[in-house]
Amino acid sequence: MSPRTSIERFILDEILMGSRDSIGPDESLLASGVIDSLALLRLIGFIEEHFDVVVEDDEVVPENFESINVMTGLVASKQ
Amino acid sequence: MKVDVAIIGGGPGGSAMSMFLIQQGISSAIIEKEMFPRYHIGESMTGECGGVIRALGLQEKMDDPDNVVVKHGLTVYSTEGKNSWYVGVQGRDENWNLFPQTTWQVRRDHFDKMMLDEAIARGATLVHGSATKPLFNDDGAVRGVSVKMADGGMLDVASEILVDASGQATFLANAGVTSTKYRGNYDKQIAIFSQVAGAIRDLGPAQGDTLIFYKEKYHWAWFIPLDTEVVSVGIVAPAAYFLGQRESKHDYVAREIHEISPELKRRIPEVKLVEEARAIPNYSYQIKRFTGKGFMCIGDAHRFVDPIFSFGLFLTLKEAQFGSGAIADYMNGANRDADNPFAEYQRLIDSGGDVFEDIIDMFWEQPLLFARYIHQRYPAEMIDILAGRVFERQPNEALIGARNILQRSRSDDTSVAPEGSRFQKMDDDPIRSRRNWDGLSSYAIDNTAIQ
Repeated sequence: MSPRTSIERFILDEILMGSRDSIGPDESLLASGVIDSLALLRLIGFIEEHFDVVVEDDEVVPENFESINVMTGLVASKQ
Repeated sequence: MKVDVAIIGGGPGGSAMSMFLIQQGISSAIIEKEMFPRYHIGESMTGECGGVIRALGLQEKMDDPDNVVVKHGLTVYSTEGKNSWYVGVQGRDENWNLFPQTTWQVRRDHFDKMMLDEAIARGATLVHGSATKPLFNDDGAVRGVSVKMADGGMLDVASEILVDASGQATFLANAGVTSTKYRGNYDKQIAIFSQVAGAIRDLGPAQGDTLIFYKEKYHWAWFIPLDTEVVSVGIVAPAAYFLGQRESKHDYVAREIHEISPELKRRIPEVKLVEEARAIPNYSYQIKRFTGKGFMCIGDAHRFVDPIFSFGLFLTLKEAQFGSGAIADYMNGANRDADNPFAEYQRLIDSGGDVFEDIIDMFWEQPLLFARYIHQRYPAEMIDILAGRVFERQPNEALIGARNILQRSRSDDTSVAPEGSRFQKMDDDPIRSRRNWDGLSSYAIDNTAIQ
């Protein structure tokens, strides 16, 4: 699975619990309320574990997790 | 009248100071203008309060279910009320391992009266009147205080040490005895609060817990159970927001309870206020030099940051405990010739207050990182700070992280506010000046006094 697909699957299965079928790569997730801050923490935990990267303190800001594309960019910058 | 220690204020800090001094054979007089019981805000205790209460031999008094509610933890609800995070009260054993603990919510009218009655029963002298001005020796050291008695007469109380436990009245700061009072420069908040009956609690142990409802930066509500029926509820918001609503305090509280969070509305479907709605302009302030020859401040008399994590009652009790030790040392001959006999106490107290301030600032400035610290990175270290373990084993990893992200450095230099702090002096900024803020807050109170 590509990083984009992995993140999308996690959000669909673990956060949205199957209430949707897909998420656009540039869809705004936070501003639109698709995920809230505590779900975002779970997502950060998933990203760290799945991609074996560390999200640093100064990267824990909503802007870095606004869309799946932004997140894959963050992961790529760490690999 | 002559005593070893004169204490201004018969709140919990003053009463605890008196009782700790008595334990060490030192006499004191408590100067209090009000008759107790009287209303006071600030009902919640942190985990480490228990240690101070037990050191005063008051555990039994706290076991009375008429007076206290047992608190197991704190839950913070996010904006939509769907998600929350919970921090349980936990203590540390002798091997520094965490274990589940409880603390208390108290009705301050009951608790404060219990404390003052107990201090008097143990030998404190109560002086019923208002402190009017400090008295000085020729060398400038404080040597007591003048009191306008409730019956109209004047009384000079001579003391070796004058303790200011006057709370937000900041008696010694207003009298110019301490250094300048710094005001916070960005958190122009106002708290409007009351008590409601019939709120829906969680079942089981969580029924006594503190709930926090977070709406947006600087806008939140507290929910603190006070007995089986009554809950203390308060709304904290930017003062400009409150003023913009143009409502009485009563109407403002009632509306906010239903608008700030769906979860708070669910818990209080019908708002029945059983207390007057009151206001406190919730600004932060700090006095850097709050001790000196013949005097010492404790609690709100020298520092107030933000009530969100209920640190206030713990701090004033803990400062009474530490301060009484410093006074006992002085009475026994230590530091008699020092410029400031209580410099070490002052440094210790400020280092603990700095921990609280930095963690609170992190909550407001970096809420996502704050939640990550609690849930993922440093849960134990965050629990330590929220419980009040700020005078030992600090800075811990969570605090170091918070200071890094806030770009804040702390030093022992008491002459300046730390870089990046809310206490950097900003007198020449007309919007942020003390005068403007004072004007705004008194305006807020004056214009919303009609129920």
